[in-house]
Amino acid sequence: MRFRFLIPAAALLLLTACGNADTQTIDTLIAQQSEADASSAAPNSDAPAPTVPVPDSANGEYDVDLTTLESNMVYAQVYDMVTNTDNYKGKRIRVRGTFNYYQNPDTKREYFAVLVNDATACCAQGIEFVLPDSYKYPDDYPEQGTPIEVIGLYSVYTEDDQPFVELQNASMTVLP
Amino acid sequence: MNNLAKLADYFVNYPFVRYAFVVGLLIALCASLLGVTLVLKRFSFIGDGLSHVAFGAMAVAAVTGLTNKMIIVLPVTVLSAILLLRTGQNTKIKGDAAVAMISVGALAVGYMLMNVFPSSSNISGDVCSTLFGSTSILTLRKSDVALCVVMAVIVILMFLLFYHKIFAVTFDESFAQASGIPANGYNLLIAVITSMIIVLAMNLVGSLLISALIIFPALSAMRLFRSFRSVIICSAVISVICAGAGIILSILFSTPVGSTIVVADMVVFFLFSLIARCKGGSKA
Repeated sequence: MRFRFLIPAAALLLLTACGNADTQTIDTLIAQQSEADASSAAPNSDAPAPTVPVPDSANGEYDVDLTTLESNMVYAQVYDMVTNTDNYKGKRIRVRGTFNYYQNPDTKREYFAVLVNDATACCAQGIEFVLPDSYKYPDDYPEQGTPIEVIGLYSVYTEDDQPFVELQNASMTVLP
Repeated sequence: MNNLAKLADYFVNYPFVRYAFVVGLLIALCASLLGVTLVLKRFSFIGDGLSHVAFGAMAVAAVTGLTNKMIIVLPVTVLSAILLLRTGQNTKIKGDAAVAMISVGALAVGYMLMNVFPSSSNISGDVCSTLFGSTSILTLRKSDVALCVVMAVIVILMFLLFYHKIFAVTFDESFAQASGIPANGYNLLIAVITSMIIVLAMNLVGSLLISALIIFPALSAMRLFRSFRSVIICSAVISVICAGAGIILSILFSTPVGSTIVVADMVVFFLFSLIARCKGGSKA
């Protein structure tokens, strides 16, 4: 009988795993990327690489520079950024990953994101970014899965009462 | 920047790295304590079986949309552990067959549920993370760490408080019962603690690798030491060092955290086996 108190105490335990944050859009992007990876042919290497100007602050002044971290650290840091949003609001972020695009079939709203995989490549975290309005998809964007670097201001917006993270006033560079 | 400086920088500036160390080392310590008992009771594979049960329960919790999956995961895992450890000897399906049956059954049901009723678009990521741990140890929140600390303290206290009784039940259950020790009660305690460790360790190494965390340190210690106490102490030291080394290496070299810890445990096991052979052979 003396052991019974262990069970309710243990029931308090909480664990985290992939996909338990409010990252529905990113989840959708990841799922689409998985399907694209499985079905697409080789990328069109003849397509011209989009040229988006690098911002003036590209000489090293970032509040959070993810390009200097190893892949596990990048994944964990991005996870932290999408779960502990208050710590990053207004900060200038620099991140490298792969380009992904999604359009909501109901609202027709377009979402652009940079995805970062963990070391096992089974989990991915992503951050949406917003380029200036003059950039139109697909002409001014690379193919999905293309390595890119994005710099932008961290902000949080609400959609369907859910908070989502995005990099505003962003710039994008297609990596070789 | 050399690796040590980089590690120091991560430790100081990234809270999730500190969280990973605290939780990882505590889980490793708890797993090693029970590992010796489970290995000696010939229940080495029970960790694997229970972790698959936990995986299945987690899938059920995900399908039902529970925010706190532990409401389902922990009771189901504890119940399975009790069934396997306490009543296994009195049932028609005994020991290893019962473990294997529950293990693969839960795994299959869990995977099927996750596919038939997907709770997120990233099913492969969810499955991979749950089975192999992935980097989930690096994505803990402060509340997770606090709860893990509480659970670890409970496990360690239980083990220390009932050390002599667990010792008696581990080596000769019949004799312990004849001596007035409620062996069934202590088997229940071992089952509950084992379940708690399994559920905790899913975050560190994932479902498929939990067994390694439980058995490798104990087996390594048994290469060189003979007494219960010395094996447990050595096992705890090995487990904590390997978990720490595994986390550090995986952060610095971007390898999967769980696998790196298990490989570190394997290296120590082979090293200890070699030393034991050189010293003239140790039986375990």
